[in-house]
Amino acid sequence: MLIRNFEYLAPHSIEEACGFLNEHYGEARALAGGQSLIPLMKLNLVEAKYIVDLKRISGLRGISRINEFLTIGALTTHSEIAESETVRSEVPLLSETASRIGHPQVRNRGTIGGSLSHADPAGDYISTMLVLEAQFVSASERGSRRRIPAKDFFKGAFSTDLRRGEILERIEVPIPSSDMSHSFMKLTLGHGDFPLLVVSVLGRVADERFEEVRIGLGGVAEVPFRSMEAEEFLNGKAVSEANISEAAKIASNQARPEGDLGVSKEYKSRMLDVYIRRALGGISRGL
Amino acid sequence: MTVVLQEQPNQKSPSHVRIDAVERASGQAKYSGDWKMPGMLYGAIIRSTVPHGIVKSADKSKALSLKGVEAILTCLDTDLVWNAGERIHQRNVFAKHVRFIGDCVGAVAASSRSVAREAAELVSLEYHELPAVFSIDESMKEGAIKIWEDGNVLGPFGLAFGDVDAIFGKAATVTFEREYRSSRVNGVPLEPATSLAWWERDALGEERLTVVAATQSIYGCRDGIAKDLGLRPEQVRVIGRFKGGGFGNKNNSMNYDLAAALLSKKTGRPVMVEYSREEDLVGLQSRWSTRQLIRASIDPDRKKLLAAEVKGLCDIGGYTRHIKQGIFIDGIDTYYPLEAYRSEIRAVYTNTPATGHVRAPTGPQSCFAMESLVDEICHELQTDPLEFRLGNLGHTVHGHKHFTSNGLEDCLVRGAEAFGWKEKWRKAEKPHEGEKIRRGIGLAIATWHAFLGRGEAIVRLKSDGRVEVFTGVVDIGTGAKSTMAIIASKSLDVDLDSVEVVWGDTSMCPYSIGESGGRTTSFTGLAVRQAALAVKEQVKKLASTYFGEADVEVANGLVAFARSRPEKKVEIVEMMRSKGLSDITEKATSDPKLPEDLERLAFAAHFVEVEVDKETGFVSVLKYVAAHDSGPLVNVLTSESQVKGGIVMGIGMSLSEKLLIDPDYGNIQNPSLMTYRLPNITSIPQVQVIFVETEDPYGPKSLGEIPIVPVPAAIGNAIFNATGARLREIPFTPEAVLKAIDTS
Amino acid sequence: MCTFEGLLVEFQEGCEKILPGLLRISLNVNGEDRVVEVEPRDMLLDTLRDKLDLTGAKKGCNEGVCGTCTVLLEGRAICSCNIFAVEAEGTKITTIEGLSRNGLDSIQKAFVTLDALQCGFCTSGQILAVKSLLSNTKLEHPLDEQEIKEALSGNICRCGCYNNIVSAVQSVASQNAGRV
Repeated sequence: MLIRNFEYLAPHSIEEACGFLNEHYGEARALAGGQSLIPLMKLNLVEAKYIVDLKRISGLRGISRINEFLTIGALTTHSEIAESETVRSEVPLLSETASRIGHPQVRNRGTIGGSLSHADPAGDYISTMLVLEAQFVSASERGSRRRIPAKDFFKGAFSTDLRRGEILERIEVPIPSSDMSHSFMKLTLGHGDFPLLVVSVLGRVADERFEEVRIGLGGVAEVPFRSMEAEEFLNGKAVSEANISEAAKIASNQARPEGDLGVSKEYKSRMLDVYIRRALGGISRGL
Repeated sequence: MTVVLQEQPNQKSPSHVRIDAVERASGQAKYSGDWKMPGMLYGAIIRSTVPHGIVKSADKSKALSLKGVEAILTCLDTDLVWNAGERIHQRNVFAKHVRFIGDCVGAVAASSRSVAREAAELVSLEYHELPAVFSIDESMKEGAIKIWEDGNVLGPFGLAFGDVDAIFGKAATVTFEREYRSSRVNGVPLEPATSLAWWERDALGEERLTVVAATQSIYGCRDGIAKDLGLRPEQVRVIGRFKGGGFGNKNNSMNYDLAAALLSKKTGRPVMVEYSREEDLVGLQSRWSTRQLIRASIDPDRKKLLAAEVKGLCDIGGYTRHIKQGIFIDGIDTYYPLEAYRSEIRAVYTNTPATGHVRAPTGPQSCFAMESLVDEICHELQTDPLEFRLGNLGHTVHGHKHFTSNGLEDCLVRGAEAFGWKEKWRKAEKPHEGEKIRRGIGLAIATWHAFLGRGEAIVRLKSDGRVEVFTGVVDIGTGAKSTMAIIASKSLDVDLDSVEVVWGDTSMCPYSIGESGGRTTSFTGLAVRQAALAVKEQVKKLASTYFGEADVEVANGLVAFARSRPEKKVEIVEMMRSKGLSDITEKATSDPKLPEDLERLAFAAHFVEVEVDKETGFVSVLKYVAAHDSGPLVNVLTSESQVKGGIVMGIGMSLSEKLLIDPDYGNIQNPSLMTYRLPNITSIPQVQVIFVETEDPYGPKSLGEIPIVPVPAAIGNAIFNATGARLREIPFTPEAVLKAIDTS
Repeated sequence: MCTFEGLLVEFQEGCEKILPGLLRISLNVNGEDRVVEVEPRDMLLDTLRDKLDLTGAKKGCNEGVCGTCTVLLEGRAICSCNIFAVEAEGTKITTIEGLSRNGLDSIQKAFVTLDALQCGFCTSGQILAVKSLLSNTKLEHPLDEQEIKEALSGNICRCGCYNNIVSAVQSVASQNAGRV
């Protein structure tokens, strides 16, 4: 658990940060809240010659509503998102997701941008972002911006669409209509643990039928994904145990959960089914 | 000459704030790792990377090339024995014959923690590797590698009384037999193991060693270190004031104390050895896992438990520190007035980390087997478990010994009432098809030894009116310091505020067995009381002399007056000054012995309500009532905290804690708090504690360990009540609960 | 401003590069401005304990799980074992020692009176986590047990003082509410 020494830089502009990260690609890492990076460095799973602290760059933190979008700076902390009245009333799914990450000390430092860039397949935010159809805006040293839909952002385990020298600048979340309900479920063995699986669901019930249901699953495949098949099946169907079970079965079939220390593959599969059913049951009750 | 003592008026049990609470709450309390000494170096342990082998050579060159490395010692440099590590099959401080991955083979001292750790990893050892065994079954196989020369199996050990076979053979009785298992868990005190050592020469040129140790027993630690290093005890000073939890792991001198001392000797500088959390989970002795085949014989008509027999196998790792021969599974012979009992326990070595004492070393796993079996019997007999216990109370142990005090019945009755047992009780049932969540209740009883033993204390009344109590206690969080102060203040009739406890330093304090086995209050407390009363005697004598009269009284606050002139009160401090006395000091050594025909035990009855999610297997503890008989209490506040604390630890052991051991290499797979899950505040309900304060002739009985003992059994019984699914292995993980529900 | 291999990179104010691999930074700790020399890889926890002699924060696990290293950064509880000292440059840090500068804080008093501690090793962290909760929560409604537990879910107590810790927080919260 020995971190090798590194050079520390704290630039004041995105361009400087991106430029340095580009020039020293492979040897330099961006530091946001550090709640993912530092533990990895302590385990020597990540070694960096240079650490570029993004926290002195102004304009990367904050939450604002612009028309039908919520814009969240990449360096906004989980606590800030969880405590934001705006997020709580406009996008309660995001509010709940952020409020349940880790424990308070982690939430006070960890950032949404850091978490998304880290792209852990079981990361709390990802299935939520997919279901909200969020867009990510990345910045590069030349000052250009790239807009990447969430569904195209996550390429693999710990791998994103960010190019060398790019960092996440902000996240844009379309505000769901107020009649949408949500469910957020995650499996952890201990409170505050990193999740073993995550289920994010958005949708509404009209005339006792499911409408516009979106089902996002994390931790059960190399990349979190939305089960379009299950969504297609469920939308338009009557709210019933049978339909919910069938949708859960379809979604589970697309998943490839793996066993973990102390948790078997079979248990995870079983829990995936339970959680999807409960999540769908949750929105059917208009929660 | 008649001197009348002012008696302490009869009052309810006292409740006092811990006297060192402010220091702990303000960050002022210095734990071992908070010390700094000029020129201090940091020590790191070199650990074996093979599960079984003999060290052939050690290449220190790479490590020595690091800047800041001051000394490197390995098993090839010293074969010093760590006597206190184990009672038999002792270890060296640095092992040459290594017996598990992580076994301590050497240590490095360097100018910084990171250099020390890096260097430790760079020391390259060559092993003559031996075959290794990682489980009881592998180890007991014919022809298996011998971990110790005389074999891998200790025992059989056991206890027997009455004629077990005759009773099991009787036609009118019914026999129940089941197998239960428990896993490896660790004490995991939040403060990782730490030791700081330095040497000096005294005025006569003699060597003096000081160790600031995170120990539960400064005298145990001192004597162990002295013995191993070939010093007289007086040459070693152990300081152990504030300690971040012990839970049994740190009763005596530890190998890291010796490593620090050796490194310090080599470098001529103070050396602090600190374990990382990972090292602590691997290197500190864990609770052995068990496999128990238990059977009991009952008279079904009278619903009486007649006899019990346990056959046990324990995985004790590469080394074990067991209390006394055969005591790996025990205690249950005293739960019920059995006519006969027999135990046959074998302890099996494996190439996995060492085992030793963890809070109530034999307790929770033994109770789990017994009280689960009794619960299964109750279910078969369709009897309320509470009624069954109340119908099986006894006044003797092993057929003939009587109790010094026994409050078990009151514990059951009062506990059940507070819990609402009768209202909640219904037979166990499987959840219906649509039911996802089910609640259930369970209970378990337990006993725990309440020994008597040697204690020492010095009480000094100073001429300024303040009282000093000198004891060797450490106070790992039990409130022992406060307990001693309260005892002294009560015995002397002075304000608690005027009492100061001098503690945790062998150079200043008399002998104490330290904090373990729930013995501190009984052993040392008695000595404190005796010393304080002796001081009071002296005060009376002084008063007599002062007034020139035989008939004097000494009242609260040590105020004296002659009976003939009660209005003329004089403070003791005045009297002392007039006589030119700077202090009145008395030392007491108490070493009471229990008569052969008496048994002294603490008792407990725990009641728990759980909620089981039958789809996920999650178990939530909703309500918990714990009724305890530990005799008269010295301090209700801290006593309650002890009970609650033991229960939290028990909940961890029941639901989430387990050291996962790799079946192919024997190493710990989860040496991290992320994967060895300690109970979190979010999973603990408000616990209600009820004390049944029996009047034991010898005073307070043990309390520190018994609270963990009934917990797994009570929770397991509640899970059965909720789901009809019986779990026979601890911990009751969600997967295990689901499996049990599926197969029930 | 300083150059780094030809690239103009601005260091934050107050962060001075003294030697390769050594930085001089300034922190405001418990109201006092302190200057300290650190390597970039030094954690805030080790800097507080080793260089500033503030040993109230403890190293229970070094992986951000146990919470014994909790300090306040700009009034918010963080795990000081998971933040580099340099990241804290120019910020306000409060340690347990800072709470008792003018006598015991009400939280400390409640912990003492209600026996919300045993060995005391987790106590600094617990108290600061409580401080963070009470300072950053609008106390419009009385805190329920769930909220309190959630706020302390990053602080392990192996001695098992959880019941009394909850009681201590409830007692302080109601005192505060009473005063409002």
